Amino acid sequence: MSAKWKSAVAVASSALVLAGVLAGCGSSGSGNNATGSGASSNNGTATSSGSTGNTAGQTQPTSGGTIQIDMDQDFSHLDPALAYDIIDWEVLEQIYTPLVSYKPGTTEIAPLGATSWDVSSDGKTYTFHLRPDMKFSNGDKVTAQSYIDEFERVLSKTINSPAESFIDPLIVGSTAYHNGSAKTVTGLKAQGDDTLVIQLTKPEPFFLNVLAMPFFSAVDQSYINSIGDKAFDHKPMGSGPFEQKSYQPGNELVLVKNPNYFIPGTPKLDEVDMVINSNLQASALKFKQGTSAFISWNSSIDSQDFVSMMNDPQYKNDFYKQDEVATYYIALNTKPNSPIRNKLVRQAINMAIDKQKLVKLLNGRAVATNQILPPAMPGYEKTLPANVDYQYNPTKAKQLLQQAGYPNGFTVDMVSSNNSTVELLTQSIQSDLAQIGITVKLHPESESSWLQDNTDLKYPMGFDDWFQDFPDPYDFLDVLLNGDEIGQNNNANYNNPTVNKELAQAATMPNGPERYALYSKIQNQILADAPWVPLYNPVQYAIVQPWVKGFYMSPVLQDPLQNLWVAPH
Amino acid sequence: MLAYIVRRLGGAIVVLIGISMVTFLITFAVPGDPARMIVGPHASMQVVEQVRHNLGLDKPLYIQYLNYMGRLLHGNLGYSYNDNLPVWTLIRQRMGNTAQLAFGGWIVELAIGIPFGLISALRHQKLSDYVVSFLATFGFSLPAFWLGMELIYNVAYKLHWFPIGGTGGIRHLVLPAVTLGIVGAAFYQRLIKASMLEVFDQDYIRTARANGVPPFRVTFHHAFRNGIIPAVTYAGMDISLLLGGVVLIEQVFNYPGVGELAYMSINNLDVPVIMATVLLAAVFVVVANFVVDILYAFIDPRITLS
Repeated sequence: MSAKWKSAVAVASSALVLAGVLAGCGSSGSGNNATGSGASSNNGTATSSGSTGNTAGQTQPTSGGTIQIDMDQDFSHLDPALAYDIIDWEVLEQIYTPLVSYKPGTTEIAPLGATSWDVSSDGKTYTFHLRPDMKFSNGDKVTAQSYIDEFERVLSKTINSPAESFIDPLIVGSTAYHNGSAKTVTGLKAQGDDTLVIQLTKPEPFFLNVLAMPFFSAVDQSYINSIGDKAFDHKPMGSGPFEQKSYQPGNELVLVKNPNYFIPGTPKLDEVDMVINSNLQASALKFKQGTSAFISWNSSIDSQDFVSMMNDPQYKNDFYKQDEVATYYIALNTKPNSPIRNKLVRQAINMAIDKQKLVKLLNGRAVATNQILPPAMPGYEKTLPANVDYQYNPTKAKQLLQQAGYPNGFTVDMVSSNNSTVELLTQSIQSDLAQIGITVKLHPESESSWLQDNTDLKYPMGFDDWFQDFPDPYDFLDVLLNGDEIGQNNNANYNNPTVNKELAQAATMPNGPERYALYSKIQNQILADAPWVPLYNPVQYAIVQPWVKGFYMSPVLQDPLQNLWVAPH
Repeated sequence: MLAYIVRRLGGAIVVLIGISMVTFLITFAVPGDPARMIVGPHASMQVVEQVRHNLGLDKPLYIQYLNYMGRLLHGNLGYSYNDNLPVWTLIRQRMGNTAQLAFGGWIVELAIGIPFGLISALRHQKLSDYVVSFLATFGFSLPAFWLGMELIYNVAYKLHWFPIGGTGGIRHLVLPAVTLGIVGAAFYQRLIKASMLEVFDQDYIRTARANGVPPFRVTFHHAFRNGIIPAVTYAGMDISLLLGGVVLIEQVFNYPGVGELAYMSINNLDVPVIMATVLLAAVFVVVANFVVDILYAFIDPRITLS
């Protein structure tokens, strides 16, 4: 997913809570669990022992209190069938309950709405056993039908959910329901209140990851019917740890504790005030002043403030960081009548770009990469084969260009968004490519134009990014580089029949080393064809007030509001 | 009088229709697909097409325009593509904020501009004239976003006198209004100065002075009433422009007004909101012009509406 939908990104699900849920539990110690996970996770760690001490100093989580955080943009949707954005999911993960989620700080699936599940031997039937004690915040009971209602909303032509393609035609009967030729989805069955059976048309090894996204949460259809679908997009009501108290578009959204939440003692906070504030410098000042609790997935730390606060003894121990499961790249359109269609030229471009320079321009908030898959993604290779590990080597790049028949270089167009940081990076790339004789004409565009021109393959080169929907290599290699995705997400116009065939094979194999090895093999084949220049994997930094306890970062979830508590300050 | 009003109203409607057509065409000339923006990059082409159909974006452009205008005439501004809320609801929620900010900024402009203009006129080519002219020009030269950030940093963050942005009462309004006022005051200073100097040269002022009318009374009773007329004209235009959106100020101060809404809708290619905010700004300018013309007649009886 690209910028605006950065979302799906980082995330994939609702949250939470897991701390307690995992334990089976309903334990009141969710805050403690979260603390432990945050401190020990490989990815989502505090940057110093000082931050770990943030929570270690508190032996007993305390209930109550209100925190304020800034959101760097307004919410687009609060209907779980429509929301597809990290800002929206920051709220939805608190209000809704999908069947499954992730262990805090990991990419490992964990129970949430379902306490357990069975998968048939052919991998096509999932039977979920739901928590019997789940209630919506209005007191209505959550049943298997509550989940089916949401699946049907996602498939409905009147809702037009962006998640429709995740389950159509995957779930038996989904296409017929979507087309209006069936009144129910035959592959979705409620057996009593607490058992949900889902039948698939083919095994999908990452199906649980799909279900962990907020799209597939329990909804109260009678509530939706009472207010209508449009109003539901602004008045969400679910069974998560918080409920919405108020929402003033463009101004503020307030969450309060859901008294009916199924984990006793969770959440700790009484209220979270989310203030919409796109001025990052002002957000940093509010943090310094102690008004806001943290700056994390909800916003960004302004570049200047990031550098100064990292070097300031007062703040440097309050940082956390998380490698994002995302890759920024240049798509090289493999088909048009331009020198880019020549593989040697594409390989030369791969070797001509100084990615470390890009990392410096990002204040170190990134890690340079030569791969498509991010490090946290199964299939990532610790060491790439030498023939596809394109290291920065302008001399060799120039030789390749000569070999390709362009000793004097050429001129090429590159599109990007007009985000100021992106423009800085594309100018650096332009300068690098000029060193080997390639003149790049930059086309910075508004986000809507950029998205459209990428999809339309208007330019031979495009600066692009992709953030995971869920932590499975399918979400990168298949979604971005399968020939079937041309005109949608395959912005390199790449279509290799062998790769397509292997992608289809990997998509239905059981999870395990064999499947991930196949994805590594596919990645190497794609890298050899060089339809991309992988640039870097972003790193998200958070800064958290020392009086905010229980904080951790996760590679797939948003901020753990349900596990936070505040110490006296 | 009635004929004049009818004629002006007719002209205003033509202007507004023209603006609506141009805005509509511009939003479609810009590359980008609102349907794709709404559903995101992961949605299938089938879903994108369905959204396009539901929004009527698959119809010819002129049909879309006529449909829009038809709804507009019934008072329906449509639904925001991005927020899924009625456009009027979005505007109504922000209109009050923008009106407060515009009014606050205007008051500060006048509070600075009028005294500065009077000082410049009364002390023409004296040191105090140069000082206030320099200060007003300096204020006008400051980039609004920079001035705003400086006030946030020094006055809100360092001194804790006011909140760092947002809304919630008069304290939230002070810094953005002062920013607007400082940047806009130079216009009034210049206008008042030029106008007052011209009035001071008039025969009736010379006569008043010759008759021994005290200088204070000459300035404020005789000269000021006429000298203020250009400022009134400009004030009408100014407040309409401010109501139309003070985009930068609203952005810097995280102030949820119509200007910020317009900015976001352009980014998101949210055509119904773009149309509504542009038309709203146009309505303000047209209405303000109209009202100012009428006010002229009351302030200066020599001006006739014919």
